Amino acid sequence: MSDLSDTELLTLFRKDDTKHYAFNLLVRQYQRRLYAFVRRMVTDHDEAQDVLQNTFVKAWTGLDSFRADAQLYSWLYRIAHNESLNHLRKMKRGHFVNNDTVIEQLSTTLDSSEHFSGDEIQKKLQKAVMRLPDKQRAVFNMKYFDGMKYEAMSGVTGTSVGALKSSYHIAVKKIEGWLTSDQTK
Amino acid sequence: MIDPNDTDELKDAPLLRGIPLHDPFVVPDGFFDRFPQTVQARIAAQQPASWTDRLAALLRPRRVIGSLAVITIVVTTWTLWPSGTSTGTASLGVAVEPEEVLSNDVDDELLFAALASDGPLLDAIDLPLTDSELEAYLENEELPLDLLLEEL
Repeated sequence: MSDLSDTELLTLFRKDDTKHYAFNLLVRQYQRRLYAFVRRMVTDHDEAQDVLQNTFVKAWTGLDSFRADAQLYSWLYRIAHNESLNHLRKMKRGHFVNNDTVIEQLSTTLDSSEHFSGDEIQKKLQKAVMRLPDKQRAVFNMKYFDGMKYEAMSGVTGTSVGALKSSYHIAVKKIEGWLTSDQTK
Repeated sequence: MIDPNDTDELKDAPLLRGIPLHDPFVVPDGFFDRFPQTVQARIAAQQPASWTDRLAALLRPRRVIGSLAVITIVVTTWTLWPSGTSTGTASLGVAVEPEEVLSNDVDDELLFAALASDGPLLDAIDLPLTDSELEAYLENEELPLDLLLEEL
C-alpha cells in the first residue's frame, strides 16, 4: 500500500470511526525513519523502542491540535528529538552520573550489541559521535546521516540556521580529530 | 539519505569523508510489523475507561457477590435489630398488609358498638350511606369484618 499524504492521514484521523486506523497507518509510515534517528541517539535497541513509543503516544495526544500547514514528519521528528534528549538527560540524572560515564555506557552497549552490523571504522565513527554533547550529536546525526536541510533542522530543534551550521562545523572538526588520534594510537 | 560527502562541509575532514555512509544499527526481525500494535496497546491502556467499561467492571461476578453479601447482612441486621417502633410481626420479616393487622387486632363486637353509637369513627369515613343504612346493611348481609374493611 502506498503512503498516504499528510492531509489524507489527518482527514482519516479526525473521523471517530477511522481514527485508530489512520494512526496505525501514520506509525507504519514514519516508524523506520524516526527509529533510525532515535537509535543513533540512544544506541540500545530496547531504549530506542521506549523512546519511539513515547514519541508516538505524544503524537496521538497532540495530533488533534496539529496545524495542517506544518509538515507531519517535521512535527514527529521534533517530538522524537525532544524525547531522545529527555531520555539521555534522565539517564544522567537517574544514575547520578556525568557525561563521561554515559558515553562509557553507550560505548559498552555498542561493543556488546548483537544488533550492530558495522565494521571497525563504523564502530569508531559511532563512538566518536557518542562523545559529542547531546544536542550537538542530534545536529550531527540529522545532517550527516539523515541529510536534512538546515531550515528543516531549525524547525525541529528551534535553533537558528546560523547556530546549526556552526554546531555542525564544530562537530565535524571534533570527530575528525578523534578519528585521527584514534588512528595514530 | 543524501550523501553529505557532496557538500563542502567535509572538506576539512578527509577521514570522515572517506567512511562509507551506512546505517550499522540492526533492527530485530519483525520489529516494525509488531510496533504499530504495541503503540496502539499503550494508547488504549492510557485512555480513560468509558462508562460501559466502568459498568462492566462493576458487574464482575466477584464484586456482585460481595455486594449482595453486604446488602444481605445490612438488611438482616436492620430487620432483626430490636426497635421501639417495630411490631413483633414485622420483626420476623413477614410482609403484613395493614388491613390484616387491623382486622386481627380489632374486636368485632366493639366495632359494631362503635358503629351503633354514632361516634367519631363514622364521622371520619366518607360513605354514601347513613348510619342506620350501614347498620342495617351489616346486620342483613353478615359480612365478615375484613371484607367490609377491604370494601371501605
